[in-house]
Amino acid sequence: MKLKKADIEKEIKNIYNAPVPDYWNKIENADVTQIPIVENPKRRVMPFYRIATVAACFVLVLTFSIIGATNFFSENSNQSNTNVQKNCMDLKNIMDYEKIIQGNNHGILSVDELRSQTLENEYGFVFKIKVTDKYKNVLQYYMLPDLNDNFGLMEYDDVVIDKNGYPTAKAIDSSSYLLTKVIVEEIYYLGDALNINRGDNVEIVEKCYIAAQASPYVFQQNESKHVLFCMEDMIKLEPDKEYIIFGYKNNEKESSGYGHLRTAGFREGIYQVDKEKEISFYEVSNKDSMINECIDKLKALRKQNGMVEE
Amino acid sequence: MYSSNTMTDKNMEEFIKKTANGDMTALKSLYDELRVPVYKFALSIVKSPVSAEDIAQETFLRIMTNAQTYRPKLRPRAWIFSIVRNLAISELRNRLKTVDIEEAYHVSDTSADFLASDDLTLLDFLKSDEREIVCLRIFADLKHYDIAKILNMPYEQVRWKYAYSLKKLKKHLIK
Repeated sequence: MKLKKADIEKEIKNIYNAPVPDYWNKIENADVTQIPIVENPKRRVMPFYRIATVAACFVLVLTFSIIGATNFFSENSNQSNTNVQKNCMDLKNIMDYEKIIQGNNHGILSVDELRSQTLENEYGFVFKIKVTDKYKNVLQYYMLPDLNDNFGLMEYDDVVIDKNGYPTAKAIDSSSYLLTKVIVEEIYYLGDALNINRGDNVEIVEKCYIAAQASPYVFQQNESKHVLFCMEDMIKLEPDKEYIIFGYKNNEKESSGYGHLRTAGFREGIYQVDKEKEISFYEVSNKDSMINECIDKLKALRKQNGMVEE
Repeated sequence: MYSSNTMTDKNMEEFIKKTANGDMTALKSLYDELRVPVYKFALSIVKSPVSAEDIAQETFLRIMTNAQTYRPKLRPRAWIFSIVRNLAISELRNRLKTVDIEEAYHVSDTSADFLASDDLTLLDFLKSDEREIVCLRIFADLKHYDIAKILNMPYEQVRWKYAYSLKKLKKHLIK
């Protein structure tokens, strides 16, 4: 039995089918004086002696911290460098360069425009996205779209819209996009991370690429550091901004239940995507970020492998 | 998906303001709009029609008496359902003062007999926080963002917990 999200929601909605009583009369006739009024907390003025005590403590802490920092830098400069180094290493571990480099596809995408809002909220938004650079493109059936080709990036489910009308996506939402090339008569998206469902109501009838979003729960199962890095990060998909796409090779075998994305077996003329393949988006607006460091590594890797630039 | 709402947030805010000035027709409009979801959401927590009716009634009285303290930090709908939730939870606490709140969620009142046992077990497969998220989403018709604010949880956590809960329920429905 195939149950869609809407079916389950309907099922839950029908749980309490009993008639709802009309209790207006009781409200009208109630004694309102018994109901407590929640007051907004009023600001109290702090007495002078408290302000003085707090200020004195603050000055004391500041003085000690300055003295402590001076001593630390003068006597243990080597040690402080080690600390900084260690922090950097930790970040690198989180980023998991090895896994990224093992991936088969790397490239830069830019979001051109918010193309359309689909008819039902369930299907969310479709963006027009362009590939502006490719770093690595090993296997044909993993291939990224051609340079300057447009394709759609579809976000579904409950989309929050920012002031400018663009959806804001948390990194956890957008960090596992499975990118595949399809010739579209109807648009497909990956539902439940298990089956490919058809979005009947989306009206794009042309050649395009779809990045389908997996359920965030996949990442909870995944338990990889790579995912944890994404958790706190906010990615806002905007026009004229660049996003980097990393092929992310997952070494875990597919498990039953809500496991990893499965093989997307499309029809003739449609490229396949390996089930162990996940592709993640990171914003590259911050030049100082480790993502740029990673791009440099990927560029070096491309040179090293003698890859021809397209 | 949930397009059944006839009253917009702005309208609802206006009605709350009018209610603050003692306008009973404004309160009646809010009542007409929210009577069913308020009752059902309360019922989903306390599982007793009698208590749910009391809570629903109390909710509208609280709206009336506390309307002047309403600040649009929360969407009006979310504000109202946070009142329902607080009342329902204090009802659970009163009912089972010695029992953990997690257990209280799974102990139904005997007067809930009219509910089909299958239906009761369906939501009972969920933990209390998952249950609240699902009920706030489905009965109260709130967005994940509002639910996150009410439950004081990160947005993405609400979102994946909701998706996870539906998958959990899906498994049981398929069985």
